[in-house]
Amino acid sequence: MTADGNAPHADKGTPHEIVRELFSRFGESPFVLQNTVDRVPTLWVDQSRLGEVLRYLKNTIARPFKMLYDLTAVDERLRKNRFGLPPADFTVVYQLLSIERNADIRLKVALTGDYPSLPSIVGIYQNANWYEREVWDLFGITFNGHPNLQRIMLPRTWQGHPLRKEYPARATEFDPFALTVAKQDLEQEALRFNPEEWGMKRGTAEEDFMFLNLGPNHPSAHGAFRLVLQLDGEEIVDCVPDIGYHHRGAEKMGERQSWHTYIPYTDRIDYLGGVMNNLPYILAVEKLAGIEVPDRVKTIRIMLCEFFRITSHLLYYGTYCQDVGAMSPVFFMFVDRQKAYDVIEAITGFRMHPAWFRIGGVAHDLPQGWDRLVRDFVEYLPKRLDEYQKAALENSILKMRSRGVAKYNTADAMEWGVTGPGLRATGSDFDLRKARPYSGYENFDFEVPTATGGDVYDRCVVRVEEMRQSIRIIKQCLENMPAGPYKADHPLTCPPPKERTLQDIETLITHFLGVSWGPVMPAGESSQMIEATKGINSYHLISDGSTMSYRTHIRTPSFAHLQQIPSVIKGAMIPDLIAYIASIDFVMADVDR
Amino acid sequence: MGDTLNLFSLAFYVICVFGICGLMIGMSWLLGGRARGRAKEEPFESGVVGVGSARMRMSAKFYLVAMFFVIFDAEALFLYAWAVSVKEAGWAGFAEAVIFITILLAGLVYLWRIGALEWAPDSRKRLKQQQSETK
Amino acid sequence: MEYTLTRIDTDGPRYPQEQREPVRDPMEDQMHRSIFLGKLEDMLKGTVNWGRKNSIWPYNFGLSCCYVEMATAFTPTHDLARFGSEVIRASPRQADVIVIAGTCFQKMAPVVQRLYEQMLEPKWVISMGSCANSGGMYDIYSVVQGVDKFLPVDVYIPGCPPRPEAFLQGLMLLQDAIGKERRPLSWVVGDQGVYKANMPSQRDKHREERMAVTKLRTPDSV
Repeated sequence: MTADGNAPHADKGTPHEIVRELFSRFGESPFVLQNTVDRVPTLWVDQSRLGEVLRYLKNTIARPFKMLYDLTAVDERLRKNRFGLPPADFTVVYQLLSIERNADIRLKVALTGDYPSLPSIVGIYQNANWYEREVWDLFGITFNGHPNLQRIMLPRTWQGHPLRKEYPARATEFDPFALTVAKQDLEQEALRFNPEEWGMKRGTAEEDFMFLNLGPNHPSAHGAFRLVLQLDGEEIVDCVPDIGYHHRGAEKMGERQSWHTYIPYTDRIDYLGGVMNNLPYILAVEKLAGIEVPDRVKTIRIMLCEFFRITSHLLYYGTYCQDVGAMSPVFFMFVDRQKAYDVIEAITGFRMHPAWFRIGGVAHDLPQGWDRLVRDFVEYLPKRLDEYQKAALENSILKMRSRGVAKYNTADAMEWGVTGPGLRATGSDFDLRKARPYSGYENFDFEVPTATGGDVYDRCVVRVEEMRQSIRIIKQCLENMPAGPYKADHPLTCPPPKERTLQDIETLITHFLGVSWGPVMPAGESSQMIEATKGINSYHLISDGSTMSYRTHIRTPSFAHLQQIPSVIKGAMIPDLIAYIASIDFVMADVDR
Repeated sequence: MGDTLNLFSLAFYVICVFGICGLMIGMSWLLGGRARGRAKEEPFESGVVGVGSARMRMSAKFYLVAMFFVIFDAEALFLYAWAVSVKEAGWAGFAEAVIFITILLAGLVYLWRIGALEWAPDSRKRLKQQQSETK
Repeated sequence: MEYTLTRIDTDGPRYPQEQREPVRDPMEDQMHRSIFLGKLEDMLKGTVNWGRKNSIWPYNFGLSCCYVEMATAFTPTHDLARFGSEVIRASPRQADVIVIAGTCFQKMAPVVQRLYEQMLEPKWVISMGSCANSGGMYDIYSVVQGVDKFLPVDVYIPGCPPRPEAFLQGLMLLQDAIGKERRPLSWVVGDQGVYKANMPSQRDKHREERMAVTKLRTPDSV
């Protein structure tokens, strides 16, 4: 059975290879095939068959789907345009990734009732643990058989589940926040770690374990991140990462902002990635709208994204060196970041969060003289990187400190959903810019740096090499910048090109509505993955034919990377943990959203 | 006469030492600000309340290291006594000191051999091994 | 100059635990009573304030994006060491100022409050960025709409995020304010309240000048 998830312009070609394989194994009856704009094979399956299908996809099938890429939910109760999809009050969405196939599959489970439940899949995919906790926290959907279904984003004392449609979005819709002494004590008590709850012992017959809070505010925790360590001396027996100290409700915000005015919020997801965050969102919206952007737009976007990859990696490089004990590199690298920001600021007008990409283009054309600035930078940086190579990476103390520490292999990385440089340091060369080129990356000549050790040191080496490749890409942008418009000529381009505004009453009204209410996107589902600074970042958008998104889901790489910490660091010492945390490269906004 | 003068100057010196210390501590006690806050007296643990107390049973391996330190340190004290009287003790004293140091060294080598000085976890040892292999 | 007298009240039911009242400059009264003692006290306080304002050690505390720009201010291009504030402290006990750099979340608020309580007097708070000032663009269920809901803020730095230069300016404004503060010279001498000068709003101060600007640089060339 096929349901037309996106009536107007969905691709109705032959079903995908994986869909045929599933149909031949289980028959067509358990599934409903949904066509989506992003062409990810999407199947609805009954919750009683879910475990069976997932196990088949992970373990039995040839070229298996080893990675649970994403798990989220949708509150379907107010959705109008469902195009014959199975009836549901809530939907839980599983997205799997296979590197061998270079393909995804999305499975959806329809649930009915106000507070529904379904079986947990932690037994199949270990990294479903945090995702299921998040869905429970934000939607109130129970996963039966989950080892510890606790709130993850919001405080333990929280009432309600914010991503449900009946929950208000704005803080100003609630009573003003006030911190009383009684509340302070209550909240602090709720933050107190309880080892028994996590199946931890307080000690053995001979000795007691020490429970140490590393964070929420610790200099080595890189943001508001808490890691509770169970210690035997300096040895880490076990640990529990605790997140949610940076939950800015970005997904709920998507249901409140127009398609256009949501762009600045994407900037602040991975706040070191700047416009790199705009890209997956913009590309997903453009798929919905059916906009094809001019080549100049694509090239400008790539150039800016690679600039931000460099600034992000430079910060990583500096803080990494600092955390393993080298104090001075970070000062040099921040000077380089400053130089990169000078270029970015001249082009976009802002440093960290330019919000410069637009639906169907970019905000402004490149200013006169941009090429000189960019050329100066690409000639300047490689020399500095060579110096750092000698001063930092080849430093024998740094090597001793980080070689062989916190190792994991490609299979572990798959199991925990690790992407980006953390995956490529284990020997895999999965880079979306090569594997699934987007926004014109297929036209560029660059390599995907990999390493084989999978340890702390290799993760740094891969990123340093990536900076060199970014410089290569920027050089190609510089030399081959296409001429042409910086906005697509399409009715949904926002804001529209000047010729489409203020000409007569028709264009005036359209422009006015586009600016005040925002453009109306056709109903449908769309998503886009990109190779962001920290791993694979993607936006999953559901439009209900309105000026706002019906559901915006952001899959961020850092969330998966933090969940992996305990499995890697058990049995190591605290200084190794510090080096490991420094090597992950995460920002908390990218974890908690 | 000279002795009493010396005693007086020593006493003066001691009084000055205590006086300056007392003045510094007293002045800072008197002039220092006083901070008040509900959580001020509690231990700092990254901004949240801690689990359990710091008075806990540590693994015995740490006590072992502490005991070795005390033992070797106390034995080194005997060498001070010998060092101030090295001329009076003569060659016989020197021979005895050599024997004493040899015994100490033998003890140290023995402890080293049986691994009593190693208290890093196994993961650390494996890491060391790996690093020496890759070199 | 108008002053605000702040008294800490640890029995208060809600944060910030303090009582405030507008007062006149306490030194003026002192001068009227005795020129000599007044002058002496003025000089002593001036010396202490001079020392304090040129060695404000910040606490290593960051919440989100703003902290990156704050950290940038510590590096050579901006060089915070010029203002004596480059000594970042990892423990609240040793820090003088806590810069709330980033969004303050409801889950984080009790943590921030505890850290503030663990700092020792004299202590100051800088609210950096729109989120810390007012919630900014995050009018959302999980975000506290301005950190001044529970902390006594001394300086607000606008921006999202503010540039490192803006952070430097904020720090200099705090230095000016500290220079005019009247704190007790000892816990056994005199009135134990903290008298803070009501500093002029930068918006009002620069309004004329800013409104006079009519020609803005075009973004068409670098």
